[in-house]
Amino acid sequence: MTNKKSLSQLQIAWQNFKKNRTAMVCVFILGIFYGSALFADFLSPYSYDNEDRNYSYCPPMKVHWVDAAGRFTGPQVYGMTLKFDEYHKRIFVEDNSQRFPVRLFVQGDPYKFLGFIPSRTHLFGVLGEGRLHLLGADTRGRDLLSRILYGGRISLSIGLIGVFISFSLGLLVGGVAGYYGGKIDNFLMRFCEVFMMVPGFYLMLALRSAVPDNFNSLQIYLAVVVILSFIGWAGLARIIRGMSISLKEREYVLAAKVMGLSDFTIIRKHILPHTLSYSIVAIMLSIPGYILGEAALSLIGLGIQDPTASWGNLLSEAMGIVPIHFAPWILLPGVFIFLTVICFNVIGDTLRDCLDPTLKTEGNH
Amino acid sequence: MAGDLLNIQNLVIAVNDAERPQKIVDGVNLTVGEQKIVALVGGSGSGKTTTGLSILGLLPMSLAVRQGEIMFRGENLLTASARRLQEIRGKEIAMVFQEPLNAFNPVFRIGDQLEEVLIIHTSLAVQQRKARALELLHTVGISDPVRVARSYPHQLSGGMRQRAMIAQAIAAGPKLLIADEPTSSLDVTLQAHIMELLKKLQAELKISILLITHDLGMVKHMADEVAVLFGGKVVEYGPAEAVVHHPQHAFTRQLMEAFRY
Repeated sequence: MTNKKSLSQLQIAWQNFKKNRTAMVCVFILGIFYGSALFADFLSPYSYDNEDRNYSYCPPMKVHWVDAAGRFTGPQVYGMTLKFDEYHKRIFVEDNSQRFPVRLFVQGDPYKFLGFIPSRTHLFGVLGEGRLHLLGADTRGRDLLSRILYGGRISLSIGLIGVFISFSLGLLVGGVAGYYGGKIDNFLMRFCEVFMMVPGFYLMLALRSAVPDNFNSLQIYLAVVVILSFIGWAGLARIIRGMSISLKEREYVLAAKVMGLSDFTIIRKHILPHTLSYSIVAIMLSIPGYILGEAALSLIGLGIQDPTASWGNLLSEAMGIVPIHFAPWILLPGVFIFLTVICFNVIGDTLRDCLDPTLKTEGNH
Repeated sequence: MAGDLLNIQNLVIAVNDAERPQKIVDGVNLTVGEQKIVALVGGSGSGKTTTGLSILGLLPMSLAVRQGEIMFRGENLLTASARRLQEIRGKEIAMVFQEPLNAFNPVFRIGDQLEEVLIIHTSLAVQQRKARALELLHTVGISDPVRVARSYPHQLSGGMRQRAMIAQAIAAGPKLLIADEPTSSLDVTLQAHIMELLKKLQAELKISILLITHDLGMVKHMADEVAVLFGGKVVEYGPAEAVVHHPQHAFTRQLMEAFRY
C-alpha cells in the first residue's frame, strides 16, 4: 500500500485535461461567456429593451480619449447625427460639439442584481443625453452589446437545461431498458426509434406548432427547452442501454441483488455511475446541438420572441441582404454562437481523450 | 421437517428452451438445520452454484425452476413474491462470492458498500451506521477497520477483500449464509484463515452456512453434513465424517483422489 495520496479517475483526467492548452483556452472563454450572461444586467450599459429610434442602425461608436487639441480628456463618446450621403444612404456622422463622458458605475435602467437585489448601477455607461453603442445598435436603436449579453442568458442556459432534461430521460430509459431486457427493453427501444426516425428539425417544428401562441416569454423559453430536449434523448438512451446490458452481467450487480437492493437502486448506484465517463463527453458534445437548435428556432421566429433577446432572434434581423449590407455588425451574435459551439466541441473532444485512454486519437496532444 | 432452516425438496432446474430443456439440477433434496454447516460438493458444472442462486430467486434468465420446493423457515421461496424475496435477501439469507474483487463495485469505498446493506435492512442513523460498519470489519478480523473502510476494493489484498465481503454478508444479521466457493481465489494459508473465520462466525452468530465448494479436504474440517452433486443429482448425502472417510460413490472417491496430492 503506498502512502502517496491516490487520485480518483476524474482527478487524473482533470490533470491531463489541464495540460491541453487549447482546451483550457476554451474553458476560459466559456467561463467568460457564462459569467457575463449571469451578470448581464450589471455589465450591460442598457436594459435589453431600452430603445432610441434616433439611433436606428447606429454603427459601433468610437471611444475618444483626447480632444481635438490632443489633451487627455478621459473616455468620451460624441453625439451622432443622421445624414444622407450622395447615394441617399443613411449615415451617422460624429458630432464634435456634443461630448458625453463615459464613466464606470453609472446609474441607468433599474434591474434586480442576481434576481433579487434592486439596483440601478451599471458597470459602465455614458453621462448626460448621449448614448453608448460599442457594438452598434439594431433597427430600433437598441444597444447590441446589451442585447448580446442578455441573449447569452437564454442561449447559454438553454444548452445546460436542455442537456439536463434529455440526459435524465436518456439515462433513465436506457438504464431501465438494458437492465430489465425482454419486453420492456423491446418496447422502450421501439419508442426511442420513433423519435429518432423523424428528422430532428421537423420534429422540433411539429412540437413547436403544438405550443399555444399566447405564451409569455418565460413560458416560451420553457417550451423551447422541452422541445429541444425531446430531440436528443433517444440516441443517448440507446447507447446507455447497450452499456447497461453489459454492466448488469457484472458480479457486483448480482452481489447487490443478493444484498436485497431494489432494482431502481441497483440501476442508480451500480449501473449508471459506470457510464459516467461516456456521459460527460456526450453531454459536452451535445450542448452545442441545443444552442444551435434554439438559434434555429428563434431565427425563423418560432423561438424566443422580441423584445426578449437570444442570440438566435438577434440574428433573425440579419436575414435580409439589405440590413447585412448597411449594418454588418448585426451579424455579431453569430460570432458568439460560433465561439460557444467550437469551445464545447473542443472541450468534449479533449475530455474524451482524457477520460478514455483507449479512444485516444492520434496527434491530439 | 420442522426445525430445519432450509429444506429443498426435489428441486429441478432446466434450461429455458422449449425444444431442449436440459436439466441443470435434477431432483436435489437438501436440508440445512439450525446452526449447521452443510457442504454442497461437486465438480464444475454440477449445478452447485445454480442451486445456491435458486434459493435467492436469482437464476439467470436462461434457467428456470421446473419442479420442487425450497422451504425457508416454513415459507416456500419459489412462490414468494418478488417484494418478499427482496426483503429476505441480505436480511435473512446472504451470500459470499468466490471473487470479492468482482463482487464489490470498484467505484465505491468498502465502508460505503457495507453501509449500503445497513441502509436497506436497518433503521440506524448515519453515525451509528458508520460505527456498525467499523464494528463489522473488526468482527471479521480486520485490525485497522478505519483504513479498510476508506479503501477502494482494488487497494486491498485478496484476503482482506474476502473478509470485507463476509462482513457485508453478515451485516444485516442473516440466518443463513450461502458461501459460494469462498476460498477458491485465495492461496492455501488464507483459505484456512477464511474457513476458520466462517466457522467462528457460525458459532458466535448462531447461523447456518451452506458451503458450496469442490474441496472435500476442507469439508472434512468444516461441515456437519455433505451433499455430493454430480450431473445435477445428489449422489451421496450424509454426515461429513462418513462421506469423507467412506465414500460410496465413484465420483466422491475421484474427488478425494484429486485432493490427495
